[in-house]
Amino acid sequence: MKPTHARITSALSESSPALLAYLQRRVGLDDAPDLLGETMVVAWRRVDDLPADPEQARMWLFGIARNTLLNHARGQRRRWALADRIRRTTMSEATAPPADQGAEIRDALARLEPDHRELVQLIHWERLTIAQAATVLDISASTARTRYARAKEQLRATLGVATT
Amino acid sequence: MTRDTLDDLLDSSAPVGSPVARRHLDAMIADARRPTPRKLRPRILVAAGLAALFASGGVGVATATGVFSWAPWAQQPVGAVQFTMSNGFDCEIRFSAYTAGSDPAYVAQVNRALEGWYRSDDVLPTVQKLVPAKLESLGPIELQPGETLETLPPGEAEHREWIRNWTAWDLAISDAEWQQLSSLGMPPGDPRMEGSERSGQINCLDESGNSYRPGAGS
Repeated sequence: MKPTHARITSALSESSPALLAYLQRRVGLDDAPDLLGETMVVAWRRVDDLPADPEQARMWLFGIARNTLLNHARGQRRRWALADRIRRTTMSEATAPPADQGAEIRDALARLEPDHRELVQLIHWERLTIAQAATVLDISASTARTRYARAKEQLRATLGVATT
Repeated sequence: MTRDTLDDLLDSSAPVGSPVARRHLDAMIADARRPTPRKLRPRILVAAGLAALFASGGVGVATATGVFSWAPWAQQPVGAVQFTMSNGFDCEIRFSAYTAGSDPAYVAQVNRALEGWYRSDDVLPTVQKLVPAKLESLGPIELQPGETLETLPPGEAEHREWIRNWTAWDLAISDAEWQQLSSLGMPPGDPRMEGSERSGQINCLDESGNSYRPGAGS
């Protein structure tokens, strides 16, 4: 196996659970496996661009996954045979949380500007640092910090949560 | 940065995902090197309902009666296959017609071809031949790290075996359908089918002849 192939296999193996969770949270259990498949196919196609640093490689994969999400939102959709097994597993074993669990917070998030919302979701749902989220969103860390502070300010006002 | 109540609220607001076994992801990574987009192969939405009642447990002779619950579209399906799973469950899968698509006339032609095929005697033997390979490719019952068949909760192994079986049958039926359609000059990938979808539903009786409710006991 070529060194780059070994590296991307390792990077995908390391990140794919988190990528699948990320995609599931954005598009649901049924469509997420296709987007994960698309992410993997694009990653293999662009294997020569894979960063050498493992952490940067992880963010690179998140960036590809985000682009598949953007394409999905534009109505560009592909079904991947390789996603079927994962889809069947997740759809059959899914357990729904209580409908109102976190609903108020998600409603407040939905009222944020899309760029701000995505940033907050990457930080709090995908547990990325501000710097990592900035990399995924292709913005500077300082821009990310400013947006994040503004987003939280708005969320505090919407939810009535005081600074502690 | 100091964390506060809002951070905790945001952390806990994440929608719950559904993790999958590592080996599925590893298989997907390997497959993604040789992508096979199924962009025009319609998706199948499988809903599970109450069990169908069969006159006999034998393959291909099961006959549904009115004691089960089918979705409204499944009252008059385009196609249905009755079969016995390797675990002894008697099951029936029904499929709706394809809807939408970029060329409704072509989609209707596909639906007519499938309807005719499902009326023939060729369906079950054709599908049956494909099932063993599908089961083999699916592998054994799904077990998470640390799990064994002995440590699973009551009914869980049965549930997972049921999933494994219907997945194999569903895949085999789909392959058989497209083989048939291809032989009639309607191969998968035709752009006229783009955007088309259909539904599927499965009902089963367990080995004791009781209705099997997927997910119960799991």
